[in-house]
Formats: sequence, C-alpha cells, structure tokens
Amino acid sequence: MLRVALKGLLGHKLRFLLTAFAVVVGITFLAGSFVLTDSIQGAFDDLFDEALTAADVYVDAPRTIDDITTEQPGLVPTVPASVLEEVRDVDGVAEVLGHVEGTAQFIDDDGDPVGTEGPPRIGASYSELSPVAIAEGRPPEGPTEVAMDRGTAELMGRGVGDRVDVLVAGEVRTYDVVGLTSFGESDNLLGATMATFDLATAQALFDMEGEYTSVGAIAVDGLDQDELRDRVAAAVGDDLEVRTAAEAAESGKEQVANALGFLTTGLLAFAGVAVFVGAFIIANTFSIVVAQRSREFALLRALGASAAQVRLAVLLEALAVGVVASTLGILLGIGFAVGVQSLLDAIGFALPSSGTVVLPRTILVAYAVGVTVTLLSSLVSARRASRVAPIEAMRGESSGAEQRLGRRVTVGAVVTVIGALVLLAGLLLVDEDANILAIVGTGAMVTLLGVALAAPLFAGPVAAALGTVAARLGFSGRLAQRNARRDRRRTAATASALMIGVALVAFVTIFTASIQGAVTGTLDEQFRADFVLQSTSFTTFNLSDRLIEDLRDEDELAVVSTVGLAPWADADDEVHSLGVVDPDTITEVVGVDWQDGQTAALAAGGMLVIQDHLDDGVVALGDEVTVRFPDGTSLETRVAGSAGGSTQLLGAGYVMGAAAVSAAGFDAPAIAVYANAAGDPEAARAAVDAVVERHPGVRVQDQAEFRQAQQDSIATVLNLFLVLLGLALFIALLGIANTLALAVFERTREIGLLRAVGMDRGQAGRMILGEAVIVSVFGALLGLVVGSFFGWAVVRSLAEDGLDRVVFPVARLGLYVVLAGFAGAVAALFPAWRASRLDVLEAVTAE
Amino acid sequence: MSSTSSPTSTTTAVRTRSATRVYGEGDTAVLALDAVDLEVPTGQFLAVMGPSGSGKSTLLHCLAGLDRLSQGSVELAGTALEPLSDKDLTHLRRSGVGFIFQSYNLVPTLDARENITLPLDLAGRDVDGAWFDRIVATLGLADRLDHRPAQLSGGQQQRVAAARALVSRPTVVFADEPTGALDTASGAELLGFLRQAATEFGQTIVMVTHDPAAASYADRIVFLADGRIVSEMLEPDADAVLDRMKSLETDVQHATGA
Ligand SMILES: Nc1ncnc2c1ncn2[C@@H]1O[C@H](COP(=O)(O)OP(=O)(O)O)[C@@H](O)[C@H]1O
Ligand SMILES: [Mg+2]
Repeated sequence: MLRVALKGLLGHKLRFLLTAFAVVVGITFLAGSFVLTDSIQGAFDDLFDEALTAADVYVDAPRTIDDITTEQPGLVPTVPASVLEEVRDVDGVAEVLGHVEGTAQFIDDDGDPVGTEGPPRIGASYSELSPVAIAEGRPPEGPTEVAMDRGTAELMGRGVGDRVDVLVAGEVRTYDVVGLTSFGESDNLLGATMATFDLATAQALFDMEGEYTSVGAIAVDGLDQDELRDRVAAAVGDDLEVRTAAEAAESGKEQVANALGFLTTGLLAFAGVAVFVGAFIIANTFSIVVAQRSREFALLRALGASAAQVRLAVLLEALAVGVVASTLGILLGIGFAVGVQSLLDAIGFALPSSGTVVLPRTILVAYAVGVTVTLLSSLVSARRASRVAPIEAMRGESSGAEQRLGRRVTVGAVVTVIGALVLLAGLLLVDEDANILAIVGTGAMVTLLGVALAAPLFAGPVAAALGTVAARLGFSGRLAQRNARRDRRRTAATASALMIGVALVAFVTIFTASIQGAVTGTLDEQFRADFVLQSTSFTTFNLSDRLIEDLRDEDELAVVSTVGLAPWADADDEVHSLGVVDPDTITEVVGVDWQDGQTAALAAGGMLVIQDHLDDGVVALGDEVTVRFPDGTSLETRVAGSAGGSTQLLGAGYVMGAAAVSAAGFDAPAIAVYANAAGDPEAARAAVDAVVERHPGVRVQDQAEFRQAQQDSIATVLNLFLVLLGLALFIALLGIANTLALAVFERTREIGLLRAVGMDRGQAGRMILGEAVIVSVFGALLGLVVGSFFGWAVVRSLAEDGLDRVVFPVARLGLYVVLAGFAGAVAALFPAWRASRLDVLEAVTAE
Repeated sequence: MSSTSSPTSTTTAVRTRSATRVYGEGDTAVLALDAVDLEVPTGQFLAVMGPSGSGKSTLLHCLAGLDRLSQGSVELAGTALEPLSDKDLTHLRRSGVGFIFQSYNLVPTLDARENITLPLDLAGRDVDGAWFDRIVATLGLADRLDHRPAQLSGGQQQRVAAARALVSRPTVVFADEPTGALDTASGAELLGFLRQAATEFGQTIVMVTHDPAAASYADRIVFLADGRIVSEMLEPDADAVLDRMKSLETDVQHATGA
C-alpha cells in the first residue's frame, strides 16, 4: 500500500504540489510568527544581558505599577541622590554610578522631530549603565555635547564634529556631536532615537537634579552579586528595589515577553485562520482527486485490496503531503521572519540582531499542525475512496447530473445554528475577557463550518443567477455557469474557503465602520474646542509645560485647557487610567454630559467616572478610593459622580481635577491641550500655528482635522487587518486555482470535444475564468452574509461601550465582491491558460 | 498510390496529395500515413477501412485539421489546410467540418438541443430553425431535446452527435468508428441516417470503420494498410467487402511471409 500511495503522489507532482501549497502557506505564517517573535525576544534577551553587565547590583525606585506603559519618560519614578552615597558606603562596593533617562528628540533642519511616530525618543545620561555604548568618537562631556545613536545620525547625515538640535522639555538647543552610540551590534533599536549627555547635563535637562532613575553598584573582586545585593538592600532600606544585574535583566526580558506575547498571539490567530482556510482547500483537493482516481481504487479493489488498504493508501498520501508541506512551511517561515526583520530594518525599525531563533517548539507545533490538519482534511476522502466498489472499475465517465444533498444541508444548518448560538452566548453571557475571545472565536469557526456544509444548497441558485449575467457575456459564460453547477459540493467547498476570508474582512470592515460611526457621533456631540494640540509621537506623548505656557500667553486664545493622563493602581493592584483635567475650563472644551455640581466636585478633589467604566465595577458612586501613582505617591478621593459620554476626549474613564493630583505630589504629563479662540478663529489659528512652530513634535488640529485624523487612524487599523487577512484570502484564491486546474485536467476530453466542434482558445479560457468568477463571487457573497452577522452580533454586544449603531458600509462591501470576482479570475489565469492551450487532438483522443 | 476520382463528381470536397504523417523521430519513427493521394467528391459517403494501426484515424484527423501532415497537402473545399493558423482551423471546425467520435461526443452539462447547436453557439451564429427541425425529425430526437446526455441511451447520444455534425451544414462530416460503441440495431439506425444525409442532403461524409456491414452503407470504400491506400471499392455490399478484406489480409500475409 505504501508503494501505491507513493506512486499516487509521484505520478501527479503538480497536483501534489498544489495540495501541499495550501498547507505550506499556513505553516509558513505559523512558523514565521514564532521565529519572528522568538528572534525579537532573543535579541532583547541579549541586549538586556549585555546592557546590564556594567553594574552588579541595581537600585531603582519600585514600580507601583508594573506595566510597560509606565516606562514612559516622566512617569518613571526616581531615586534621590542620597541613595548613591549610601550605596557607596556599603562594604564590598567598588564603584557606584547614577543614571537618568527622559525624553529628548532630535530635530531636523525643517524643525521636525526625527524618527517614526511609534518608537520612543529617549534622552539619557551616558555612563557604563547606559544601554548604549560609544561606537565612534568619545562620550559627551559638559552642557554642550551630545552623543547620537548611529541609526539616527545616519538618517540625519550627521557625524562626529557636526552639530545637532535636540528638543528637551519644550526647548530646542544645539549640541556638538562628539560621539556615536550603538545598541549592542545594532545601530538602532526598533526605531527608537537616543540622545546621550553627561550625567549633570541630563539631570538638568530632565529636571532631575539630585535624582537618578537608576543607581548601579559594582562589586569588589570576588564578591558575588547576590551577596552584594543583600548588603545594598540592607543599607538603602525597604522603599527601594534592589536587584542583581541578572534579576534586572530577567525582569526586563519578562516585560518584553509580555509585550511580545500579544504580538505572537495576534499573529498566530491570523496563522490559525490561514490554516483553517488551508484545511478547506486540502479537503477539497483530496475529494476531487479521490473522485478522479475512483477507477484506480476500484481496480485495486478488484485486484484484491481491502477497503482498509485503500483508505490507508489515501491517508499515507495525506501524511506525506502534510510532512513535506510542513517542512517547506517551516523553511519558508524562517525565511519569512528574516525577511520581515530586514524589511523593518529597511524602514527604520532595526531590531538588535542576534540571529534567527528557531526553537524546537516552533518545529514541533508546525509539524503537529501541518500534519494533523492535512490528515483530518483527508479523512472523509479516504473513507470515500475505501468505499469505491470494485465494479466501478468498469464504469464509464461520471455524468453531468446534479447530486442530491439532503442530509448534508440539514447537518450544515444545525451546525450553523449551534455556531451562531455559541458566538452569541460568548458575546452576551461571558464576562471574562480571555474567555470571550476563545468562545466567540470557536462560535465563529463553527458557524463558518456549518455554512460551508450547507453551502452546496445555495451553489445551484446563486451560480444560476450569476451565470445569467455571465451568459450575457457570451456562450463561454453559459458553459462556465453550467460547470459551476455541475458539482455543487465542489463549487461550494471552493467558495467556502474564500467565504472565510471575506467573512472576516467584512466583519472587520463593519466593526471599524461602526467604531468610526460612534466616534463621529461622540465628536459631534462632545468635541467643543476649536483646537486640540497633541504630540506627534505615540510613545512620547507628553506635552511640555513650556508649550502650555506659550499658549496661555496668547491673546487670541480665550481658553487653554489641558488634559493629563496617568496610570493608577487600585487597592487590588489593577491598573487603570486617570484623566487629569482643569475643572474650571473643561466644560468649555469637552461637552461630556456634566451634571450640576460635578465640576465643583472635581475642583474639590473628587473623582468622576464615565458611565461605561462605572459598569466595570472597579469603583461605585460614593466609594472612598485610594489612587496610587507610578512614582509611589498616592491620594485618597471619593467617587463624586458619573458622567455620560465617551472617555476619548477626557483621556480616560476616571477623571480628577489637576490641582488635587499635583497636591498629592504627582505630575501627570499633559497629553492634550484644548483651546478656544478669543475672537477671530483665523487669527487664533495663526497664533496657535506660530506657537506650534516653536515646539517641534506638537501637532494642532481644528475640529475637522481632528475628526479626520480619528477616522484615519481607525482606517489604518482596518487596513492592517486587511493585510493580515490577505493571507487567508490568498490561500482561498490558491484553492480556486487548484480546483480549476484539477477540473481542467479532469475535463480534458470535454474541452477537446468543445475545441473540436469550434471553440476557440479565447472561449476555452473565458469558460474557465467565468467559472472562477462565479465561484469566487459566490464565496464572497456567502462571506458577506456571515461577516455581516458577525459584525452585527459583535457591535450589538458592545452597545454599552458606546457602539450605538451597526454601520454597514454598503459600497465598500460591494466592492469586496467585485474584487473577489477579479481576484478569482486572476487565480484562474493559469488553469484558463492550460485549457486554452490544450492540444485538441491529444484532448479528444485522451483516455 | 491509387488516386481515383469519381467520374460523376463535379466538385471535390476533400483532396490530399501525397499526404504523409510520421510520428516520432529516428529509430522510433512511425510512418502512419505514407503518401496518400485521395479525392472525395462532394456528396460522397466514403468509408475508410483497414486493420488496426493502418492509419485510418490519422488520416481522418489530418483531413479534419486536427492533426498536421509531415509532408504533402490536404485541401478542404479547395482550401489548403497547411497554412492555416490555429484560429483559422477553429473557424474551419465551426463551419467547414462536423465530427462524430466513437464515444464521448457530448458535453455532459448541456442538454441535447444545446449539444446540437453547440458549433453555431460557439460561432455566435443563428440556428436555421427549419434545418434544425428537419435534422431532429429525421433522427427521431424531437422528444429528447431537453434531456442531458446522461439521460440518453448510447444510440441516442450518437444521433445527437450526428445532428450536431450536420447542423452547420459542413463541407464534410468526419466520423471515426461512430458505431463502435453501439449495439447492432442502434448502429444500423445511425448508419441509415448517415446514408440518408448523403443521399438527401448531399452531405459529404468520411467515415472510419472496420466493420464491413457499416462500410457497406457507403458509396465508396478505400482500404488502408500500413498508411497506404491499398485498394478501393465502389457501391460496396457487405459480402464483397468481406471478400476484399480477406484477400487483402492474405496479400499482407504473403507480403510479410515472403
Ligand atoms: N500520437 C501518436 N504518436 C505516435 N504514434 C502514433 C500516434 N498516433 C498514431 N500513431 C501510430 O500511427 C499508426 C496509425 O495509427 P492510427 O491512425 O490510430 O491507426 P488506426 O486508426 O487505423 O487504428 C499506428 O502505428 C499508431 O501506433
Ligand atoms: Mg483508430
């Protein structure tokens, strides 16, 4: 049997490759996701190990809130200078170093900050404790010298001996570049920019005189790290965190791992979709191939092979496909990861390079998934093959008659309903965030399976309807329609693979459109300011006091109201965000549904909670709450009331007055400044523009611009999803190509006949293209229906979170169907070409 | 070798001049057609006979433009096929020739009516309703037109194929063992119809067969052996054909045995 199975494979290399390809693509993405994130993790691990070798023991202010978002310049808590002296006196300390870190932005000749909007723009003191090392030149000394990271220097075309503008705390100063730094081997770290100064300069710039963000101690020879840590800890007391270099590196690695965890999960989800779609393609291919080979199986049976042996032959073939495809997928996945890394490098997000990391787990999971999926997908076909009766060896060609579907459709309908119920139950009944995704995802998958099972029922009528259009385009259109209908199961299976991708695309489209709708609604209702000013960087989002002062000095502005943002931890150590507003002016710029006395309550130190967040149950009206900030300061407040509306304009769901927060000793960095014109809006705009001109990295938007920017950023998310789902769509299109290639092979004789009685090459090609278009439009339509259901269900379930209506962007969804048709035609180009190039004589005399 | 023109013919539907077809190269080359000269006058029903492997199908394919000669020429209604492009040949197949194969003649997704009008539909030409009705009536297919091939008997399928071959009023209808897969009665029915088409409609027909009874429906028979025309016969009857075949066989045996 093994020989038969292998012969079956080798005899049809093209078919084998086409089948395998569906698995290959999914596994490539799966393995690629692992390798990429593992490599990034590996690189950071190395970086932490390397960066934290300078000292043996580190002393930091403890993180009240251990969350990567609080590693923001300005939020990182500091250690007083006295600690340095205390550590110096500890027995066994050979040397002690202080280090500060904050935000500094390089400014280019146009007055704009250098670097992409995502990565942080770091300023730091230069010492052995810095994560960077001098690669060229010398360390900076004195208030006029800076060292640049080499990546940024290259980008700006600067080198040692040049001058460069640096923005710190709202002020631009010009420095002499005396050195270039690198992160380990890498010139750049994920697109971050890094300006290093000498310690005193950095402390002055970051307003950290007499403070450090970190203190490092080097042990005398022969003293081990743990011992030194214990001694230092005893000296500085319990209020500070004392860690060995190894421990510090470990916690840094952990933070990266947590952040990467999201990325890995996200990528794997898309890989999962791809594999799911791939499973459809494999199942379909196997069923076609088994049908085509039924005479071969019948012959085997007639020659004495048992049903089990025939089944085994098919399963062995599937196993071989799975193994080969997984192997290819792993290799390509590694290539994919390397490619993504170089791509990121090329666009300025260089990763520290420490090689490509392929963990055994990656290989195991890839093989397990690839082989299991292939085997499962071939089970039904294997069973069908084993049921071929020996007598069929003598039978002629299959007829063009349509099959009966009865039971399958019923099963499909039941499965669909079960899936839909699971999905709805997940959305409506489950509270745990982690479970919702799993349950809703399972429900969606089951729904898709059910629809795929029932799809042949619709294949007939839909193909007929689409075919009527196609028939208008000529006789090949009519033949295409007939071909699409001749095997409704096959058509449905091929279309279903596309359906999955389109359903997800439609869902994301509807979901984002609904968010856009809700955002627009909120902004229309609540956004009252004439202007809003924000940082252009996502990670360095605080605005300088200097900017705010400059705005307050402007006569053309009547109101300047700032909104700050601070992470805070509650009694259970859960982290939330706090919007910090100016109670006197906030109502003039943000029209939240304020009730009487609420601004007064804010002014008096109370907390307001936005309605949705009240439902989260973290706090209740009237509660006494302890708010702990990242730097360890804390305050007591009372929940004074709740307000309607959205958190978007207030920065967070929990809101307090600025005075109360600074009274507690915490400076919440401003993330937005709202301003209203005093008189002439154009004069006001000119005035604001003039201020912004002096403050690089700050952006001003009027109402229309702000609205547009909000829409655009949602559209960007949509596009990202579309790109990732493109993979699933690609596999589905591959499936169409595959099915049609097999169909052309199967119908050689028929196409030969058509050619013999006068079909020209163009007509033969168009017949195949037409079929592809019908199949893909059918799949897209199914996908739209299912995706609309997903979108509707998810958006409705989020009604309480402000998604008040389901928006169906009809034109866009319609466009997807048209695009699917085109893509289907493109996918069918190769089979169509084969059909049109068939040698007529060979075809009519074919077996 | 024996080039014969019918004394009654006015025009020639098919003409070959030293038609030669070699398959393969070098040692493995097979001479399937060896300088065949043949003329088929318009309206003649010609049967091509010969033992298996004698080149009958090859000749038919070359005459119909499905295969290319290695040497020599074929003319269909005065048009030489050699210079024609694939596109020209396609047009020729639409209107100049009709085909009846031994089996698998019909497109399974089309019903009988659609199968019959297929060449016209592919050409985008209108169906001549009266002509269609006449063929269909003659073939006794009127009540089968809405049936798919799978719902038709073998004989009915071949009759649909015959109707399709005639519907575009081609210069020549080519049939390769059209009764090969039929029972005797159905075969006789089909042959009777082909005979009728030649007589009544003046349809030129070239039919390959190895069955003397089938060949006896033709106006004329040419006998092929090893790619050459070795003999021919006019107004044959089945017994005479059988006799001729026997004598040819002994000739061949003598030739090979010598
Ligand atoms: N495509 C081909 N390639 C090689 N040889 C061929 C091919 N077609 C036919 N032949 C050979 O040419 C000869 C004539 O074949 P054919 O015309 O099919 O004979 P017939 O129809 O009389 O049985 C045979 O020897 C056959 O093997
Ligand atoms: Mg033959």
